[in-house]
Amino acid sequence: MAWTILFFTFLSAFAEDQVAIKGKILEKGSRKPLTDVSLYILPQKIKAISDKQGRFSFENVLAGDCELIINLTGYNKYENKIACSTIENLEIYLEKKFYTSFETTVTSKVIKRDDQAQSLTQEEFIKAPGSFGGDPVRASQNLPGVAATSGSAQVVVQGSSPDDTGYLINGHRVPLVFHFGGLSSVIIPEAVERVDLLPSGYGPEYSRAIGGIIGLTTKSPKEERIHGMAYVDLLNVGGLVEGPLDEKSSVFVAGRYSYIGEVLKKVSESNEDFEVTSAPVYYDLTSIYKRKLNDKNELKTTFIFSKDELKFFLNKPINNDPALRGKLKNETQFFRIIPQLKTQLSAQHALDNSLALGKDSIDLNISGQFLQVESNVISQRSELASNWSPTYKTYLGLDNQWTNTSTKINLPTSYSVGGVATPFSVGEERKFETKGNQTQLGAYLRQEIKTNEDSAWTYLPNIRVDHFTLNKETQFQPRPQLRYQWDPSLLLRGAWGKYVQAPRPQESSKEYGNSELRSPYAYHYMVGHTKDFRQGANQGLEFTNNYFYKELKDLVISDVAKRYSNEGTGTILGAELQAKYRQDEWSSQVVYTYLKSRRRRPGQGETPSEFDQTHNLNLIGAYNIPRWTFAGRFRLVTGVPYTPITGATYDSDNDVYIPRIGEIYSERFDAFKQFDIRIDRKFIYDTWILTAYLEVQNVLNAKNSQRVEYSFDYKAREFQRGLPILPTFGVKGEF
Amino acid sequence: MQSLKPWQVSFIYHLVAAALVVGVALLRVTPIEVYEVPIEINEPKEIQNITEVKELPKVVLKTVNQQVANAKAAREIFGANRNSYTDEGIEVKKGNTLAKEVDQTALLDTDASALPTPTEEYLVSEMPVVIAEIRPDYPQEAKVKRLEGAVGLDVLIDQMGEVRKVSIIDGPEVFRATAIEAMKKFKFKPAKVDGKAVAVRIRYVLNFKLEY
Repeated sequence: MAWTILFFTFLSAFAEDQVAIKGKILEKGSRKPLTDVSLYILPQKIKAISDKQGRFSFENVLAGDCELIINLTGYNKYENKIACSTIENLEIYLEKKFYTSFETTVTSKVIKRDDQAQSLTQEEFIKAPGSFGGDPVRASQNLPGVAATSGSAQVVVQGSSPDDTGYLINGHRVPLVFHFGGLSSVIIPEAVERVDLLPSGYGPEYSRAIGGIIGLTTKSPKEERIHGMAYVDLLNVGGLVEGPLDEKSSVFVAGRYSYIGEVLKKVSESNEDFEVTSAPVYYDLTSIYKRKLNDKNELKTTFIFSKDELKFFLNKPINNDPALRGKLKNETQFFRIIPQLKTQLSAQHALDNSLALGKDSIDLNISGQFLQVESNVISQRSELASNWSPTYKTYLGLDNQWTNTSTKINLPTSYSVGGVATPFSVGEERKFETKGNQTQLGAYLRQEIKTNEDSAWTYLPNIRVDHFTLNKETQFQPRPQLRYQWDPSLLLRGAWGKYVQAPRPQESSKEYGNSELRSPYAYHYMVGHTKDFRQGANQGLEFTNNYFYKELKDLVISDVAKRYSNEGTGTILGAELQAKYRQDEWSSQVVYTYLKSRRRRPGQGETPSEFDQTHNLNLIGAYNIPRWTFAGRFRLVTGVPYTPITGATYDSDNDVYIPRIGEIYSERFDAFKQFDIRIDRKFIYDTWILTAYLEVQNVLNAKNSQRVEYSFDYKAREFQRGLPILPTFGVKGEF
Repeated sequence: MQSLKPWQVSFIYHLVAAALVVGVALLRVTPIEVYEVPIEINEPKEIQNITEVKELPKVVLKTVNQQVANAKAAREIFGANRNSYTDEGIEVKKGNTLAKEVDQTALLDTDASALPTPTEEYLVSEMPVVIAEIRPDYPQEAKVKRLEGAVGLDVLIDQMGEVRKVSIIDGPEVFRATAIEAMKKFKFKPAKVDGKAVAVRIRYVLNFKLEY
């Protein structure tokens, strides 16, 4: 009996020494489960292999001191001494190496529907220097042919007016893409998958913009797990949450709030000329919901809301316009709900339907004089993509928009020539209230034809038709394109097309404008090529070169007799090149645009346009080392032209001087120079990543003149500087 | 036929049948005989010792149904294991029974047993280094459908730095075949343990990325 007890005691003692260790192995920071990883326990030389969820299990481990070793390629070696006992949930985090020698990237150029499109993906614009923390639209200013307007970040595409650029979100028109001052676009960068710039020669899918299109595409929410991000810097605070709701659906919710107004308010306290009565704020909300309805149907709904509010009090009137004094208020807001349904009808045919429902609102008040515009907007797009054969594809679509606008105006008229407007004080007072509907209908057909499957040529005889109820015009717009794929690395392209846009509502208003206005239009001609020297690698040189010519017709200009007329014409000639080079931790870009933008008005002959910037050079560089990114951008741009004021006539009735202008756009500001830098430092913790960043705009504090300020009698003038040196510091946390 | 007597008809039928059988027998193609050879893999006992790793057992590969040139006549045996294969032929301990012909089958490169045994990762002091990186063409289907993704591969690299076996850990289906084919053509400087080249398993990632 005693022997039996002893035997069982021995057995139980032995059994107690055997323990099991279970746990999970994940990537540090991203928490991605690591599959098929070998884990070793020494000195017992026991091995376990992780499963798809990163789970592992060691059985029969002898209790006591042991060492856990993981040597997974691409990750830092993990060696940890532990006390082996029964462990149920051991979590191990492996840090990914920055330079992983066991990784090869195979790249290829996406088969673009529109070869003229230049795009930036989120990965590219988030890291772009000079983009204020990855702002997609500001980053698009690094693309060839794109420039910023003075004092704001509106987008000028190839020398056209910013009003001739269309802003789209998921293919639907929105009234603006920037919050005031152009510091930030109206949508959080993390919600944007891609920004597309469609400059001269763009295809038939979009219209109503004779300059070009900036299109933002929202992303699909992540589906594998819940992610979150929050950031705070000197100007904004924001955050997002995204992840799966169930097996078929996922959601993304984000919001931003800017307290830049508080900063301005503090600044105004020391300024006697004006005081900020209510801190200007802007904020925006974005949500995206995606659901896979079945094998053939997928629904994605995007909601965007943006609001800007600015109120201040002018203690002293503006020098040369006594009407501008007292309370000033500017409030702009809009929202859109954009449901999109993608249906795969068959292997050859796919149908995309989308709607945008929303409201735009502008409330401008200057000492009791006001402009209030409220618009209800519904836009609809449908497109049937058909792949008839390997040599013939078609895209047949509708692009319609209905706007119901209610306008209340109590403002004097103003007449502007060469960018110099008559003072409000002498304007004829106008008070009215209107309501009206405007419908813009559009239909298009894109065709891709090859003579045989292996042919290097692709012919795209595209056509678009637009109808505007505003001036009852129907416009046929042929937009043929041609593509020649010389070899996989060299693409040659050419395009010609007609582009039409309706006059702006205020220009064609019966009460305030000229209801007889025709639609301005343009002819675009372009040729270009892209050569990729990288042979499928993600390192090396890429080169893009385009030449373009635009003829602008029936441009709307101010007219003394009719308020507005279609007497303006213009031409824009340009060449652009972009060279991108990437090697190991270095990446660099040279972007250069040559431009000659001219306008003609009756009696004034040919003059440079307000947006004529002859040379535009961008040098961009970035250096990435583990956990650090250093980036910089240098811009050197010919100063924009302005019209000098040669004198003034005193108007005793209104107690104001009326400026006399010299030769239109005959003088230029000094060349615009700006050097921006950004430094990012990552701190990777087990379950989240912290990034601290410092961005300094205009490091050299260059005094870039962007506006001329005149004295009350126009005898003295001084140049208003653009952005001074502006450092921004922020932190961002994500999991 | 009606003029022939029943026995004559029967004789002719039997003659034709016999001729067919003989003809088939004569024309018959000798089928390749494939035998399974039980191979006992001797795991190197010392491999678990961090400080000393002995050379892996040598595997001699021979082609099926082909005599080893100048092979010395050896005793015919059965039940040989991998240790029985020598450069001179097959040698076994005395006492084996002569019961069947010598197996003509040998290990093929593709046999799992013929692959080198990888050294456990934690022992490796110097990981392999890529010498020849192969970048395959982007799969056309993925390009048309605008698909991107990363394929995780489990790669067995031998002492010579050759890729011997590739299997998928994860990654989209559309890239898998391309990734495996490309990976097989990679060349490495072999992994080392204390300066000695060893076979090793690594995890390799092939990213497929589309650019706008």
